Amino acid sequence: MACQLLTCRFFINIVNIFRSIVYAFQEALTSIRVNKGLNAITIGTIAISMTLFGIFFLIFINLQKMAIDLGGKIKVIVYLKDNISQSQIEHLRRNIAFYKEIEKVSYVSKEDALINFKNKLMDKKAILDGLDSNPIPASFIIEVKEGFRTLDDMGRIANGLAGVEGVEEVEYGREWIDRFETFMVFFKLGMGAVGGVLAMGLLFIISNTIKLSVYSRLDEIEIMKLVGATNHFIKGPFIIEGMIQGFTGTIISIMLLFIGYEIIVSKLSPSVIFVFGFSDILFIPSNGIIWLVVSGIFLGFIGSLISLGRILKVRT
Amino acid sequence: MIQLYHVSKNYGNYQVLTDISLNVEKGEFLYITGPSGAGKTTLLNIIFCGVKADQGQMLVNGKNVLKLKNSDIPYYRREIGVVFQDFKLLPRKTVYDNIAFAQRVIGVRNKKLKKKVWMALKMVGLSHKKDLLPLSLSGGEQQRVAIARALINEPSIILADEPTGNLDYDVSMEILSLFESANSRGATVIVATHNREIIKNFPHRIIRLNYGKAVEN
Ligand SMILES: Nc1ncnc2c1ncn2[C@@H]1O[C@H](COP(=O)(O)OP(=O)(O)OP(=O)(O)O)[C@@H](O)[C@H]1O
Ligand SMILES: [Mg+2]
Repeated sequence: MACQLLTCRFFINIVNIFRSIVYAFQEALTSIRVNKGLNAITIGTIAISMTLFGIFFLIFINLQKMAIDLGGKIKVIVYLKDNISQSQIEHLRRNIAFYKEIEKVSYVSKEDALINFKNKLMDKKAILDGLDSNPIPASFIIEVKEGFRTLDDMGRIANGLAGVEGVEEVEYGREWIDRFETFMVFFKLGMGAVGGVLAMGLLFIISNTIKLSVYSRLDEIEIMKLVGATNHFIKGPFIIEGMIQGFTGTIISIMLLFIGYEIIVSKLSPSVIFVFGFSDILFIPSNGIIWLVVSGIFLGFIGSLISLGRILKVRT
Repeated sequence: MIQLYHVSKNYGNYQVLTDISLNVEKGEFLYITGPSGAGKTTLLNIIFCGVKADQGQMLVNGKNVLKLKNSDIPYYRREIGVVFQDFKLLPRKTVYDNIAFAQRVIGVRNKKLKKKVWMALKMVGLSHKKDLLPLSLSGGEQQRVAIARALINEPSIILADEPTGNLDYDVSMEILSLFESANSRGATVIVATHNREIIKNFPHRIIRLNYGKAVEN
């Protein structure tokens, strides 16, 4: 019985909260309609800032994709000793297959390696004719799965294989990976800094718009209080106004980004794309878009909360 | 219901109310009269927590009003319907929404709210002006909107500050009979007024404010 009563009260509370939110929404829309100019400027600023951030985001995503494309060309090469026996080769092959990070292994015999090398030399291959033995070692060429093309993972695989009997040397694109990883770390830091500065700017702008909106209605707020409205009831519409601004601005920025993206993709001729070695330019993936929209709404929420906290505290 | 003990209020060094003690029973109907500037509005403001008394104690509905937390004040005010001398209507909301606002604040369902607002509009005779903004109404019409808003939540206490200030004789009598019927349903009513005619037609206990002091008539 008591439990039923509690459930009932809980349900009534939910319904009341829902009703208040609907009301706050209507009020916020009215306020936006009344303060069209101010809201347009704020939403425009949010859209520009979010677009700026989105450009960084796009570059980041495509660099990452490029790294993955290029990473496909980065392999771990295990050079074998000349005197290695067939059973040692089989042993090594099993050893390599043991690593779950590995996508593909291929064996290149001494003879195949020499033919490949000669093919690369083309017309100058005559210089090899004088050799009485084959100087090129046999090798295993290992392709690593996408998630593991990092310095750490590839280094670990290389070190693990270097100690196995019959292995002469293990090579992987260490320097290149190192440099790229450092670059990406700095790029992420830079993106974080730009994002942080833009977020601060947006908070400042949103909180100021909401503050103006509140100031233009201080007399109304005063009356609402006299009639028994709680602070939450009064704040609700302003907070939703800020969230609508954040949402609309972000949606506009995503549309701008998409239009810009389409133009760039259509202008880039296939040859340019070929030269740079990537097949496609990516747009922000759907979870990135959701992430952007949520941050936009969140910034609107925090921005209005900041200004309301200050204003409503002074006047009770 | 409403008890004031030695309440004083001053603005700067100007003493508006001096040592006011007052006891209003539940279900009573009380007039507060006195010359302009006597402090009638100030007294009503103190009762519903619009301004804070400097000295004294006050019990309303068993609550020690001067000790209320800020977050409790809205809920306290909902027990009281106030007709402000300057109406205090929301300038950007229609007549309908101004009256409905008092119901929305306390979270009344839309369906029930609509019915109540219609009844309130009919009660003060403004159904045909429900979509107008307050500023396009006459003073008397604005006053009636304020009265409808004060009565719609059926508060246990009604404070009316010059509720007939802008109304002619007939409408004044109609408005007063609205307060009378709320009073007969159990509400405690305090009306601040200069209007001798309504006092004559609806005689009740009178408190007269003079030079900041309350005198029982
Ligand atoms: N916020 C304030 N600051 C300074 N003085 C004030 C303030 N509010 C009221 N007063 C002064 O207090 C006195 C009483 O004001 P109050 O409004 O209570 O009078 P009243 O009896 O309601 O008058 P009326 O019949 O004209 O409405 C007036 O002299 C007024 O100037
Ligand atoms: Mg007055």
